This record gives sequence, structure tokens and C-alpha cells, in this order.
Amino acid sequence: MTAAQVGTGQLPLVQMTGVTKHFPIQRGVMRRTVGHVRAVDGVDMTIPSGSSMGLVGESGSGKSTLGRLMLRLIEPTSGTIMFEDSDVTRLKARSLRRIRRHMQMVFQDPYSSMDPRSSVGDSVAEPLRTQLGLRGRELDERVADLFRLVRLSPTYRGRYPNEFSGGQLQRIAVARALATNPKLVVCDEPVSSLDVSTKAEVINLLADLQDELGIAYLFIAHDLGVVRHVSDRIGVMYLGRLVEEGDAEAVYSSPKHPYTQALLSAIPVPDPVVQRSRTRIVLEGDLPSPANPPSGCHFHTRCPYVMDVCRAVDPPLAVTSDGTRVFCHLIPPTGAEVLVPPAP
Amino acid sequence: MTDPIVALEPPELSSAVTTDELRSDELANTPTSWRRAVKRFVGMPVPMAAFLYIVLLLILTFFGHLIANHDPIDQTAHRFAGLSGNHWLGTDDLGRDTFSRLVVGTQVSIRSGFQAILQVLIIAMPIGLLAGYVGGKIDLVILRVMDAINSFPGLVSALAIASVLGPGLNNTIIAITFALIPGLVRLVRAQTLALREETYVEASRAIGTPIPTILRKRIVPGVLSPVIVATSLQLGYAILLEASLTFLGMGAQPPNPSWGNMLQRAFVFIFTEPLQVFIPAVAIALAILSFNLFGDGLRDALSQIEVKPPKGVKRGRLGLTSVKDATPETTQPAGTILAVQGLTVEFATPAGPLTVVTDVTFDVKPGEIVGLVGESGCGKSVTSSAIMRLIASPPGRITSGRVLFDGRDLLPLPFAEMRKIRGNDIAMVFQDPMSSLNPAFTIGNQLVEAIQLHREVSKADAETRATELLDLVGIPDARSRLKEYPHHLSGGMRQRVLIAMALVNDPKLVIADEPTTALDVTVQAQILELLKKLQREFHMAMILVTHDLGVVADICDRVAVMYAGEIVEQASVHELFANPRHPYTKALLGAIPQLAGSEDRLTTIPGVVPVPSLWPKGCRFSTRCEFVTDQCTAGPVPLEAAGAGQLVRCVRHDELAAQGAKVEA
Repeated sequence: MTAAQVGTGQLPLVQMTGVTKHFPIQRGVMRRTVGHVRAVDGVDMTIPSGSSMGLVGESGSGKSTLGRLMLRLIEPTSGTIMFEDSDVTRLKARSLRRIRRHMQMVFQDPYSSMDPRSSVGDSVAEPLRTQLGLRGRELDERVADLFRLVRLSPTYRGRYPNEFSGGQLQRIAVARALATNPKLVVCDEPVSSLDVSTKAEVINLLADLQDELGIAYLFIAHDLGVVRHVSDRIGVMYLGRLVEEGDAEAVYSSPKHPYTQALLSAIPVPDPVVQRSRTRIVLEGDLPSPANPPSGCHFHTRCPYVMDVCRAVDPPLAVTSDGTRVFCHLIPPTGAEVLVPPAP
Repeated sequence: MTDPIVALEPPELSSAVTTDELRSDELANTPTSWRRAVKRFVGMPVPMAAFLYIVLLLILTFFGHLIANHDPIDQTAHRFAGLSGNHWLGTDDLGRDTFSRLVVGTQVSIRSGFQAILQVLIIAMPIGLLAGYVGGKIDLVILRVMDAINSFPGLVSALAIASVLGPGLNNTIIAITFALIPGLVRLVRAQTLALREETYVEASRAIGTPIPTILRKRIVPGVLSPVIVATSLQLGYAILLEASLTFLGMGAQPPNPSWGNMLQRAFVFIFTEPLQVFIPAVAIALAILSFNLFGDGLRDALSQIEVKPPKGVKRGRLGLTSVKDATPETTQPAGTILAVQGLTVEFATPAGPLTVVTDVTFDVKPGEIVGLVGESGCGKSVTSSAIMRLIASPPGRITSGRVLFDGRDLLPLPFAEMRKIRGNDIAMVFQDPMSSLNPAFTIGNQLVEAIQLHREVSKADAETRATELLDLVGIPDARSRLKEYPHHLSGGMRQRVLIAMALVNDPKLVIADEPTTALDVTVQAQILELLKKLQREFHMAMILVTHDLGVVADICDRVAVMYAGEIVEQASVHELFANPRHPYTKALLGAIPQLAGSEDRLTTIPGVVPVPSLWPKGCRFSTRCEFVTDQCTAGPVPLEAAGAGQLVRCVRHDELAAQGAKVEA
């Protein structure tokens, strides 16, 4: 059963199967490969068209790598990535360039993702020139439309990135990503470098644009609060693997995997009454190195409910009654009720 | 073609276009970097003089034969005629006018320099771009070939090539070109390699822009400025090579004049007629020097970082923030461990002193955790550093206020006294644990040093104490960790070490500046639990500087919200979250996704935090406040008491609280 069937019932836009990325670790003068960092380790994920998938995890979980793999900005070690009916991993350079018109990206830091030597209007025009071959007046009008779309005055087209605040520039980066009217936009931590008040303007904009244009998002963030606000579904990654994936409200209000529970309880709620009445699950230790992940379930070294089977066997997929896919030995694959105590 | 984006755009959108203000500090609104560089270059006297000399050389190159007052190959005058009104620089051994030969000979040096460099650019740019952008095997082969050429000195390889090709100016230029290629290829390659990793290049790839276009639009402009600098430096070297090769008989052939063959000819008579050697030698040296000085000036003009601090601003020594007329005051308010009163901090700028923190007043009771909250640029970090007097003076200076700590005013204290307090009675924990620890020493070394700095204890006792402290902050296997270096530890462990260092002398107050911002959430949770435990066990007071209202809600007792250098609201943590009174506090709380329902829109605050030079008169939030009236901008707004022990800096707070109550009812 795929997530698309479990979820909204729409056709899958992106279907990733067994996607793996191992980065070689090279040492010495001869650049000998002495090991591999398993950044992404066999991930299956489906994004239905027009829906948004939030992807959370801590640094080193492989979430950004997964986003770049989805767009084939880096080459996967193995696995297939179907975008509609073409396998992105097998496309030749020319067809890959052509398909990029339908899949775009918004990066974390707008100041480094916009060329400081080009005017912002020129940066927004780049996909229009490259992908749609627009020139002259037509190009200019379209750039102006895109500035209006992200609620900025088109008169700012000739300005340079350093003249904008982080929030404004990120809105321009969104305009660039939407220029070719893509079906999928991968947003890699789009608000984590912004201040609280400007963060809100970008989140609102992304949410509005999805309503207006029906784009699918892969929304990568470490902040579950932000992800829940913009996502239909949420995936949780730990050490290169997807450990839980399901409807956003289900994952947020009744997390199944012990890691998701710990992650949620670790985020302080900005309300002293609520926050001080919660019992926090404090995980022991640090994230193990992805170059040498623990055997069996990657989470077993820090899991409060660890059993012998967890150390030896990779946990199987279980689908719970609310449609959440979980990889945990505590949850029987039959889909019976959750055995783990629910998060506070 | 239909235009789906425009078609989908609701009609009211165009009117909803916000007119956000752009950033208006000094960094913004400057002309593009090239225009700025030219402006900066014109202001530099020595490179400008070099530039003017180069212009003179170029004039001589094109019009030298018009300026020369004799035919340079006319041998009718006396040999070694000496200086005269007719022969300004005398004549050579064949009776040719030296001035005319020098002027006409300019053409050979300058032309060969420029021609060689142009050829180098045409060949080296594409090779360097290819090696840097494509990488892999192609890069390796190109690099090895360049290394092979580079392993001979430039003059030797040029000489070898010139002797194979035979004498003559054109062959000399080819030889010079060959000798100069490797340097430029390496430069272009290194620059390309760095630019290739830029996110905006990745963004272009994500857009699907073809590689040639990426190179032309994103890489070449970035490679250009270092290449231009290198080119002007290499021009000097090319001229030297040409002169050297000609001196050795390879280049421009007699009787046509060039600086190199003038030197060669005169060299035979160096003991009898030294002036004739001296003249072309000076011409060569001056040309090379001017190209080098011009290149250095260009580099300074093009570099983003200011070479010199702006005029009128001197960098002071780090150590102690200076204080303007500090009058000692020793009455500590009852029941406080720290009382900050009217603290005002200014920074010297080229435009004059700029106040960045204004009249900050708050106190901390023993065992209390006070949060100092605000967005970037609100002055919260400056405030916390000013309490410890850690801002360098100049440019920073405390212009008024008092910092009363445990019965003493810290502001009038001399450096030695202040140093006794730092790390002893007041300790600090910073955001980035890696840069606060010395990577060259083990954490044991650093802890022992901190312990022995304030206490006379033996090394063994200090180590025991260090182990206890690491235990206390939850580092497993503390004894053996003492021998590890900071880079062996994870970010969370490093932050624990820093906290252990802060605890070395049982401080009465800890100032923690964004202690969990650089950490992942599950690690942040560990550190927050640790801070709570320490505060409970040791009854330690703490100032927690943070932008994260979740962290505040978790561990603070009281909160001061800062905006544009001022405290705008101060309250107990429960009051602040339950009844925020300042419109800015309200907006901040409304902007947090976790508090809003998943379907709600988040509150946004129009515009950006103004920079200190543009703080509005009266209420500093007035430019972005939805409740602004004329009375807000009339004059400075005082911090007033409101509700249960709350303080708020808003002229309409009573009115707005009443309105809010009405709406809710």
C-alpha cells in the first residue's frame, strides 16, 4: 500500500523507492575511500500532487540530502525517483534540464542563494529565459507579475540582494522558484535563517501560494511547529532513514515512533503553563555518526523502550489505524493499536 | 501560451502588494560593486599615481614617434654626447638620441606586455574554468600539466621556448605567454572551484540553466575581479621577462629601439657611461612598479572587506568597556543580586556616535532566571556584554547608567577589579561552544586553568574539581574526557563543558547568550534540563539571552522584551504570555506557528527592525505598529507600570488592554 492511497487518494507526483545516498569518506594523498557516510539509507516516500510533505529531523538525519536527491541535484547511490511517469534518476542531461521546469527549489539562506552580482529581477528572470525562452517585454511583464505574486512591488526588480531584508529576499527566491509554474517545490529550511516576525511572512506566503496554485511541497525543516503549519503529511527522519510518516495532525498529536515522541516533547511550547506541566522525554546521548550507524534500528542506542530485537533486526513497516507508516518493533505490522505510551 | 500564474492570481492581489521598506543602512543602497570599486580606487593616492603613469606609458606607446625629437635610428650625432638642450638624455655609443629611443622603445615593452597577457587570458580562462567546474580527471590532467610547466622558473622556460622558436619580438611574446599561463590557470581554477559550491550556482543548476550559461553569468563575473588584479601584476612581470629576454638577445632586434636592447647595448660601457645603463633600467623598473602598485590598489578597491577602519574610528583593545563619568553608587536595591539602571551604550561610527542601547533598566533576584528576548539587532547581546564590560572601547562606550552587582557598581571598576569578578562571581556561556573553547588544548587543561586562575589550588586538586564539574553537567566518563580536545566532542557535549567552566567558581550570576541556539532540539532539551537542575541545586541567578520564546516559556521566571535598543515590556513569564501588553510582544507571540492553529494565518509585522541610525522619534515601534497615533511619535515613551508588576513602554497600553478585554468579552 502506498502513501498516496493511504493519504489523500490523489495521483502520486513523486514516488521515491529505496533511495540511498552514500557519500564516500576519502583519506590520504591517494584519496582512498575508507568508508561511507550513509546520508540517506533506503527511503520510500510518495508525494501526491498538490499536497505538501513536511520532512523533519535533526542535523545529520539526511533530510536535506533527500531533498536534493529528489531534484537530482546530487546523484543517488541506488533507488528510483519517479516524477509523474519519468524516472528522474535515469534522465539524460538534456531531458533532466527540461524536467526541472516542473520541480524547483527554495534554499535556506536567501543571501547565499541569490547571486550578489545580479539584480533580483535578473535572478527571477533566469528560469523564464532558460526554461520558457521568454525575452524582452514579455519577460519583463512576467517578472513583474511574479514580484506581485509574492507581494512585493515590481519596482524593486533592479535592486541588488543586499538591499533587502531576509524575509523580502526569501520571498523573491520563492518568486524565482515559482517562475516556471512548477508542480513541485522543495523548500529546504526556508525560514530557519529568518527572525520570528519575518519567518511568519514567508510561511504565510508559502501557504497562500499552495492554495492559489496547487503546488506540491517537500518542506524540509528542523522545527516541527513550522512544518505542521504548512504540511498535509509529515515524515520524520533519523540517521538517513524515514522512521515515521503520516497525516500531519496524526503525527503531531499522536506520534507513534519513540523518536518522534522525543522530538516533539523536546520542542518547548511557547506557553509557560503548558510547557511546565509537560513531562519531557529527554533522550540520552547524541546522534551516532552516520558513517557508522547502529545495527538494527538506528535509534536503538537512544531509545527508552529498546528491546533485544531492536539491536539486531531492521524494524519492519507497520501501518497504524490512522494511516501512519511507522518503522518500529514495538508496533506490530498488523496495524493494531499503539503499544508505546502516547506522548504527553 | 496561457499564463497559469497570472490567471490564478486573484484580482485584489495587485492592490495587496506591500510597500515594505527596503533596508536603509549603509550596506544597502550602495551602487554596484564595480562602481563602488572605482570610487574607492580614485581615493587612493599611490595607486592613482601609478595609474596615471600607466596612462602616460600608453600615450607614449601610441604617439611615441611624434613626441621623440629625433629619429631613434639616426646615427648622425656624436657618440656619448652628454646631456644637452638638443639631446635631453644624451646619445648612445652609435650617436643615437637616447630620449627618442627611450620614448619609441616604450612601445615594444608595453605592447609585448599587453599582447602576452591578452594571449594568456584567452588561453588560461577557459582551461581554468573547465578544470574548476568540471573537475574529476580533466582537472587532474590539467593540473599536472600546469605543475610541469611551473616547475621551471618563468625566465628559464621562456628562454628555452624563445631559443627553439628563434629570436624576434613575436617569438619572445609567445615564450612569455607560455611562461605565464600556469599561474593564471591555477587562479581561475581555484576561484571557479570556490564559486561552484555557492548556493546560487546550485540554484542555477536547479533551475536547469545549461552549463555554458552558468559559467558565463554566475562564475565568470566572480572570477573576473581576482583575474583583473592578477593580470595587472603579471603585466609588470611580462615586461620584465621581455626586457630580460631582449637583454639576452632574443627579443626586438636592433636597430629598432627597445628598453631591453638599449640596456644590452649600454651594458658594455657600464663603467664609462653608467648613465646610459641607468636610463633604460629606471624606465623598466618604473613600469613594473607602476603595474604592481596599480594591481595592489585594484585588489584593495575590489575586496569587499574594508582595508582600513573608517576614518575617525579607532579599534581599541578588548578588555574593558570605557564608561563616561561613572559616579560610584553602592546602594544595591533590596533583594537583588544584579540591578541594571539606565544603561546606555553607544558606538563610534564615521557619522558620529550612535546609541545602540538606551536606558535599559532591569534587575535579577538571587536564584532567578531572567530572559532577555528580542529579534536580531534589538540590542540584547550588547546589553549582556555591557554588563560584563566586554565591548571593546573604542568603538563601544557606556555613556550612562549603573550596573550594581552584589553591593558594588561595576561601571567605575578598574580592569584588575573587573577581571576578578569575571568568571568568578559572574560567568558567561556563549552561543557557539566551539569558538569559545581553545582547539589547541584539552578540555582538562582549559578547566584546570580556569580553576587555578581564581583559586590557589594544586594541579591534582584542580583536576579532581574539573572531574566533579564534568560529572555535574552530565558528561559521562568524566575523568577520561579531561584528556580530550574540543573537536572530539559533539556540540551538546561542548556546551556542557562551557557550562562546567562557568560553574568553576560557584558564580552568583550566569549570563547565557543564546546557549542552545546552535544545538539540535533533542540536545537543546538536554541543556535546558541541565540549566534548570543547576539553578535549583545551586540557587544561581541567570540572565538568558534568547530569541526563542519557547525556551523562555520553559525556564525563565521573568522576561524583558527588547526592541530597537530599548526594553519595551517586562513581566513575569506567566503574565507576559497570558497578557502581553505591548503591541510588539503581542505580534511576536502571534507569529509563532506552534501557538497558532494549523489553519490560522500567522501574525506578521510589516517592515523590518530599523537600524539604530533610523530609530523613529518617540516610540521606536511606531513605524510598524498597527495601533499608531500621533501621540506615539510626539516624544520618548516612558516604561510605565501596568497590571500585576508588569512594565510596558506604550502610550496606549491602558486603552488597548481595555479594548482587548472588550473584544474578548
